[in-house]
Amino acid sequence: MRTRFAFVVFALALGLALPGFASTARRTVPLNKTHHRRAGSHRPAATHHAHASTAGRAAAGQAGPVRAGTAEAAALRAAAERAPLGVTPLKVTSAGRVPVRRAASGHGSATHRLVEATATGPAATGVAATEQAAAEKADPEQVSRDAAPSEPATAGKADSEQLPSEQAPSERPAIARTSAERTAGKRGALTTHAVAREATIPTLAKLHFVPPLRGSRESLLRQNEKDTAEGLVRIRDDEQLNAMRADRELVQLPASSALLVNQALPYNRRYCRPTTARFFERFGAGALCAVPPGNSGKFGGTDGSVPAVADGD
Amino acid sequence: MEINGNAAAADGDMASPHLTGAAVDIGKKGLSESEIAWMRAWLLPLQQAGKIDVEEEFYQACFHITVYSSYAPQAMPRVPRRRSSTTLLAAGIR
Repeated sequence: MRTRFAFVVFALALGLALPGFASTARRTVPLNKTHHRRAGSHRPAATHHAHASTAGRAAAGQAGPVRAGTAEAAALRAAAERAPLGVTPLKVTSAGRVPVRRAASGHGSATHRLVEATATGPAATGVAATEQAAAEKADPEQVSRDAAPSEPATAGKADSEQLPSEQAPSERPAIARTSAERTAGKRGALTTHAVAREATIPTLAKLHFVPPLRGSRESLLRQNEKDTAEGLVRIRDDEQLNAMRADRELVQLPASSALLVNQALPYNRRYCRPTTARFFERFGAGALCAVPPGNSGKFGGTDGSVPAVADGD
Repeated sequence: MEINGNAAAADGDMASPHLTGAAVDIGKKGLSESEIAWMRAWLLPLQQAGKIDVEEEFYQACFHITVYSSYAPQAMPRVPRRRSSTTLLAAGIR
């Protein structure tokens, strides 16, 4: 009994002294089960590589356990080390549909998501080329065997030099973007970019804006000074008005079709200086020449209204 | 008798120029913006030349225009009167 107990203790001590021997059974991974690597897990590197390689073998359709320490396991481990994190070998199907298997970041057994890039344009082939380049590193034979009959995959293989960072994320479908690009897109939404806004407005004609001719106190003073300097007298009453009309110092307002006189103005008030009358004659003639098409020939609004001339306040 | 509350005084420096017969108001009622702009463009050069003074009023919506005696359109150059062809014919017969 003691001998058996001592043998057991010795065997345990030997197992502790040789951890590789003791963990050999644990490293044997059946490939019919799905194993995934968690981002940031605390597993040893050797275990990581074994899981990644088995996942790649599972995606490639190979079956059978891989024992750690063998030459096959070493080859798979080296291939998994070359492959980028989170990318497993893919299988390129026909018609440009590229099912991309990605290592999910969460828990659970159904953590492999199948992301299909359904677009058949250059963006989709670019994604396929990127995924294929990663897969080619992991398992070159399998990828070349699968990609041979597929035309879009061949086109993507030609563009395999293009890395995902070199391609603009906006050119790819949103569903095929990686998580890093999605994060970058969220950050990009918060950043501002200087957008060059240029617009070409055709020039129709030269438009000269004339501001309103506002009056002022200085303008009124200037008018009175000039009138006094020209010797113009102010009309005090009707007698003086009639005398000036008789002397032809005042003439009738040049009413015409272009220039109407306010009907509310008394008849004996519809007189002005000859120079003023001459000015309004020319003004009416100029207004007639400037009648817009479609008008009835009268100066004024489209409703046929004509500006009224009111002489005197 | 109606009294215009906006009328200027009859005497003084602030007297209304309408009493001299040299100022006339042109109403803007019924005119479109383009027509008012045309009037401004037509009156502005004359004002800058010192021949008229324009005050655009908005309360009464009119152009107050005072025309000075310097506004004298140049008279048309006199063309020597040509005799009619019948007169020349008659002169040739004689």
